[in-house]
Amino acid sequence: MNPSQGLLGSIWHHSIQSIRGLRYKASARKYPTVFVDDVVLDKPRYGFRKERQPLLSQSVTDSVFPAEEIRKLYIEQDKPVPIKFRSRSDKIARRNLEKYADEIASGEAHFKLGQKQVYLPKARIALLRSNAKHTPYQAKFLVPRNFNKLDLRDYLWHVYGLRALNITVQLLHAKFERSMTDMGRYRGPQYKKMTIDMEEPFVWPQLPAEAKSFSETIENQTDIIEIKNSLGSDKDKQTNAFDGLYKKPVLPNKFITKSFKQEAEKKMNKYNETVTLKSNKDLVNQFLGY
Amino acid sequence: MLPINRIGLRSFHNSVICRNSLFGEFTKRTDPVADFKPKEVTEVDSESDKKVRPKDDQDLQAFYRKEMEQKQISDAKFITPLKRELFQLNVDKNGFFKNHDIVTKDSKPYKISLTEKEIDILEPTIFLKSLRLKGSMKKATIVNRFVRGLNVKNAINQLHFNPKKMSTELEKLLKQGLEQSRELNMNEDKLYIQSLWVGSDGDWQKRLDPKGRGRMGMIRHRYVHLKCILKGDLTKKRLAYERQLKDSFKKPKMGLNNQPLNFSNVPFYKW
Repeated sequence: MNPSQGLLGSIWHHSIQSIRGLRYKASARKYPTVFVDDVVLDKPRYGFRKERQPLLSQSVTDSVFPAEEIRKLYIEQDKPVPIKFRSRSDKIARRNLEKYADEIASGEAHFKLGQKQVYLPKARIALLRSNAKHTPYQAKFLVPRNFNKLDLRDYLWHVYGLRALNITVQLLHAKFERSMTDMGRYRGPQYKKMTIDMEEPFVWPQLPAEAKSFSETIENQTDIIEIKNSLGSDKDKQTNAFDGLYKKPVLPNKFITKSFKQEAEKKMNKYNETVTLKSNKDLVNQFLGY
Repeated sequence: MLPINRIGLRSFHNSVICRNSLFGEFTKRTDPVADFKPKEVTEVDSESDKKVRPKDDQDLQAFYRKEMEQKQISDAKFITPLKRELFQLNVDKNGFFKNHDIVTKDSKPYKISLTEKEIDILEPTIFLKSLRLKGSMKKATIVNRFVRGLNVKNAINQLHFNPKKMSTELEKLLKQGLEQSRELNMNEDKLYIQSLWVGSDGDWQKRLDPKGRGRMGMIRHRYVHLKCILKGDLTKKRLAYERQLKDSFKKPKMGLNNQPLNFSNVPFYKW
């Protein structure tokens, strides 16, 4: 409301403005004036909340088992300890860690050993070449599908004396395979891989330069077979398989009709005969001294 | 027998206690991470150099070359050396081959007369064959008629922007021809398509096309090849000369035949 207009004026003004006639037509002239500078675009959505003091528990940052320290801080400042920090799990964790360090230092197993006695393990465990994502402190194994993490940990410990500090499992599906007889596709059995963390690094030796992948050889072989079994003009096809072993030079040909070929070959044979006959005669003459 | 609390203890395990070795004093201890060095590039190169690649194997390449030379269709296999020599002398003399012309060899005159087929094989020419192409003769012929007789480079240019499949195939074929012309030291700008044709490549497949009401159609999978003869400047010059020669021997054109009338012409009216 404009204060200079007074009460009556304002009432009158309001009543006039609020009642719109049947034929009211909004026009730009009647719009309320708004100045661009007064308008705040994109009002801030922060800063209006009450800012609180950081929690006491947040002040402890550099600790493996922080609950103990946090509890202490709350008690010192006469504040109730949050339920989260009241349990004694920290103490247990610390005890476990100490035990773990002790076991490693003394050369004992760092875990509870399995009870089942296996004298001749028949599991096939294969160490795989590591991928780019793995560190030297990781190793990957192909394991039987009935293996679990505990099994592998026990196996590595008993057979190789290798500590698996952490184990992750990858259960992978096999590739689709197509059979020759029908249009269907089938998956082979799943396979299981496990990645362990180790105390000490291990790096696979490099592959020899001449080692080639199996698939590359297969591709080359199929290429050759395709050409051998090819039909029609494809018999002259060139291939780069096996590093260009089967690639033959292409020499420019001339066109010759079948009839002319027969005719010309006859003439050439006759010519060759006369040439050889002449040379033989020359040899005989030379021998006889004519 | 180990005491129960020592089960699982491994004296050979490489832990803090047994830092020395995995197998006691027999093995030398190494640090794989520190010792790891990627192989130098030069070393790899020198190793691969020792192994002979098929491309650089001279014996193999010579063997293949001999094999292909035996298969090659060249004029030397069908024309006697004297004819070839005289042909070359004729070409050197006239700039192209003039039939029935006299050339001197060893200060002796020789008149050389060759048949059309002999000239065809003696003149520089390239015969090209495509691989097995999926398509029909009808489809290929449309493209063939489009470029037949054109200059090879011009034809390649036209075919490159033609959206037909056969155009692409023919373009590849003609490019091979250009490559071969470079080997033969022919002028590739003057190369032209003397003839171009399509043929069945055989072993066409058939497939059933099921229709309604128990009927069947037959889908035929056609395979063709393209064949092409390229010729050069020498042929064009010869043909132009021969046409000119033929024209010069022609009788002059007359409106009426210059010969007696074949009916009796009497100076009086007959009825």
